[in-house]
Amino acid sequence: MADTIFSSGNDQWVCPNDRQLALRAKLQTGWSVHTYQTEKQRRTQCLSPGEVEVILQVIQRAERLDILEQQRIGRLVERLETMQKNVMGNGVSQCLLCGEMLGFLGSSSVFCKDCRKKVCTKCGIEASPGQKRPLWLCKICSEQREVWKRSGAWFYKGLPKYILPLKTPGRADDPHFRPLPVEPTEPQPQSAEVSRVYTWARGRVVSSDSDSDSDLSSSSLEDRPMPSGIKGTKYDKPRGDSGGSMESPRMGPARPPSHLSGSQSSLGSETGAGATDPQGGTLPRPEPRVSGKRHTWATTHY
Amino acid sequence: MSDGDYDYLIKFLALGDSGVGKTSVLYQYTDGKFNSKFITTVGIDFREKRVVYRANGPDGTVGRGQRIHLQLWDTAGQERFRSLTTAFFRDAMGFLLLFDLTNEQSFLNVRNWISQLQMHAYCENPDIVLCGNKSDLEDQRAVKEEEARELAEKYGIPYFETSAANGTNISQAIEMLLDLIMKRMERCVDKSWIPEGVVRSNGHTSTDQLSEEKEKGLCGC
Repeated sequence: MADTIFSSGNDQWVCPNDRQLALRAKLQTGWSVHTYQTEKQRRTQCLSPGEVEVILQVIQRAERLDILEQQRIGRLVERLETMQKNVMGNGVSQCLLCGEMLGFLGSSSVFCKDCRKKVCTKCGIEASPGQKRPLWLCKICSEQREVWKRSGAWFYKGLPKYILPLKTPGRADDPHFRPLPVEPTEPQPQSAEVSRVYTWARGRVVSSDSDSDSDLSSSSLEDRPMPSGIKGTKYDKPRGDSGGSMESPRMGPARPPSHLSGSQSSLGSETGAGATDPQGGTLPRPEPRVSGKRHTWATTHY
Repeated sequence: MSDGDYDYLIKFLALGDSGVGKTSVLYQYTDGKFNSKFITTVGIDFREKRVVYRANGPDGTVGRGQRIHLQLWDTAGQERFRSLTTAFFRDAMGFLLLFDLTNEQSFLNVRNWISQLQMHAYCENPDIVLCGNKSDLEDQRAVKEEEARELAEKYGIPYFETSAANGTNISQAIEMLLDLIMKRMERCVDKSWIPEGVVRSNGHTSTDQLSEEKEKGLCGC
């Protein structure tokens, strides 16, 4: 039973971390050798088989909770990736999210503190409404912060292990492959249709799941009561434009830094090589690079 | 309870000497019951509870409720389980440190437990709430409230006098710990997003620097 827990699910051998070694030492499993202990000391410190069984049952219960947590984090990540994939503007003269024209003849805009792009006031969220200087975030960066908090990444110094939803396995690959090559003209209508259907379906999911809470929070901050209908209309217009405008926003907007290093969230359940957490160390702040970010993001999925 | 429909998964860990009431406190909090019979915990265990957390904003407004799934780890206080239980310290976000008000030795060992935390927790200053348990046994009290409060102030941690038998202050202690964790989370997320070296030369430069210094000082991660 103990060997099954520590070696299951991963054919490739990975060096266990300190906590696994400590746990194995106490549970008398693994390669722990008590060379310098007398027999009497060994007998008093050893756990009885019944005690080991009880502890292993607790660890199995914890693993079941961890699986649920990984699936929940996967839903958060998928939602964020969808938002990032569906940006329509360049963030300078157009709203980053909905592509609406900004400036002298267009709508009024706000400046996102994190990604430093411009968005219209409907696609932005005021991060600190009570203070003197209003601080705005675009909805993608606000969602990024929410994912960072809700997934526990703030604690593990990186996004923990997660399981993407299985119902859309094809779409999970889309963000990593499509931006790289220049798409030919013919497949574009198909991808546009898929995007539209998915956006509409996502609207349904939002109304029924925990995502609706964040949307309610967003709508309370906005002035106009019917934002989704208006946005839906505006989403359709830019798709009718030339393909060049669709390509440029994907290259232009830089994602906020998201740290995707793996971290040990449950003792004994993960054998992946996680980085050792520095005690009291500062949070990592890598330089924002588009290619680096995407490469790191893609690595985590496979 | 066993679904993924919550906003945050928060992991707490209860520690302290054997027999101070760690299991009873967690059982009272999750199930509202008390079992006076002492059954020693074997190694490690955990309970779960779903709560709604409402943060108080700086302007006094109460924020929207957030659904928290609490995983409450219960450890064995005996010495022979020490290396097993300390392995779980790293994954805990907050700690409930218990001692027995009728047992002075368990109070004196609080210092040792805090040293264990500084060695094995995820950082050197984790969020801790100190609890003097068995406050209902007033005639057997061996630790004065002033002594315990003085020790708590020395370490800068909140102190509650709890009773697993009648449920006194147990919810308050755990809610205080949850509040500390949620505030630390907000500070960490806000701090990690401040891009360094991108302070623009405008009229708000001094304000930005002041706010950055404040936020850096607050966050202990």
